[in-house]
Amino acid sequence: MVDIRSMVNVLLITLGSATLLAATHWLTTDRIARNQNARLRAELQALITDPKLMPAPLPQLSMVPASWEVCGELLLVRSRASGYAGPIELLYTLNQKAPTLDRLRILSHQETPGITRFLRDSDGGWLRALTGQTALSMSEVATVSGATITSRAIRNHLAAVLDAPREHLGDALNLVAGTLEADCPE
Amino acid sequence: MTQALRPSLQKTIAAGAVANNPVWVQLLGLCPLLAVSNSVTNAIGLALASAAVLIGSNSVIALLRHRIPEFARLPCFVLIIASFTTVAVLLMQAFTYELYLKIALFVQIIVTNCMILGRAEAFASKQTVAAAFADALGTAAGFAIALLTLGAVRELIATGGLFDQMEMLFGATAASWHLSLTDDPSGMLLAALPPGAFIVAGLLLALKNALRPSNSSSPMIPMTPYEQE
Repeated sequence: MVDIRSMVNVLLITLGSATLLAATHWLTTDRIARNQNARLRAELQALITDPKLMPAPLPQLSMVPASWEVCGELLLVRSRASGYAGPIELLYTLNQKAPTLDRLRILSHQETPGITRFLRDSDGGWLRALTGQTALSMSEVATVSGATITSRAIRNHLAAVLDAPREHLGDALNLVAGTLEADCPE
Repeated sequence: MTQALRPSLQKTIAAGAVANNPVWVQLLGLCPLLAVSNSVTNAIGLALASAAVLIGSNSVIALLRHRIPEFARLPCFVLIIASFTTVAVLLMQAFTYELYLKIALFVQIIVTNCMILGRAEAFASKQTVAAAFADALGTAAGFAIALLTLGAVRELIATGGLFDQMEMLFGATAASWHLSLTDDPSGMLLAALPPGAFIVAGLLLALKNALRPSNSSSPMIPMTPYEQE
């Protein structure tokens, strides 16, 4: 027979746990939001080098996958390639006029550390070799020795994106489409 | 008699870390251990998060041990452990965001780590807060020793270096802590892959057994020790 005192004790323990979580959430919410915004801004600054094209406000990280048109020139895309150990989150810009990859950042991945150091180096090495490529030439970029599956997954994903007709890109990748407000040049 | 059998807190800590090491002696918590220990940075991150959850939940369970009804013992333990796990997740997101993004899954599943629930059930729910705190401290230290040992060996073999990406934990100045012991950064890749985790862990366990056989006469702290008060 469960007595009332035991039930009250369980209820108090539950309330105590909820209070602990609420207090921690209250203390960390702002800092977590700042971390997310800082990371996104850093990634966008690496991608969109022209400060006039920097979107304001910043797109929400939770909108995954998504694409945003920037001033009719760039298409900012966040999408996922299927890597060796799980999804690889990509953030990149495409030149709208000539369908080429403009710049690329790897936001997150679960690939094997050590052998995937090249994913960190967006300004040089293998990731740099992908920029400026069209769908056709992208497929000809050699994969990385020792990380073949990872590099092939990224390369093939980007080639598929570039190959998709612009008007059907959203449908092809299940992207949430949007337009970013930026101080566009005349 | 009970008091005479009761070990000092220092002995409890030492037993949790060495004689009853949760990994090398009890083989507990192996899932996150094998998954995350491919670098020292990841190992430190998971060790700190696990220690926070273990120490917090053990202490609270010991504090509430007379209030937790027998019929709801396990749900209450899991509720308390899950609460501390969520706190650890939020704190990592707030203070070590980049590292959190790398090991998020394994921090979130600390709640299911049998090492933590085991110490709550076998020790904290029967002991004073001080004893439970000491036991959690020792067990957390033991888990951290295992994580760091495995992480260091695997990173060294796989990349020929140590302390890569320490800036994710200790700020920008820690970026210079990276040691590269060979010119070839690729190293022996197998050590960084999941099969490498099993092989290196097995070799380290064999080494531990060679140095300190499990049937040695070293004193062991019983899993369900002496009732308090």
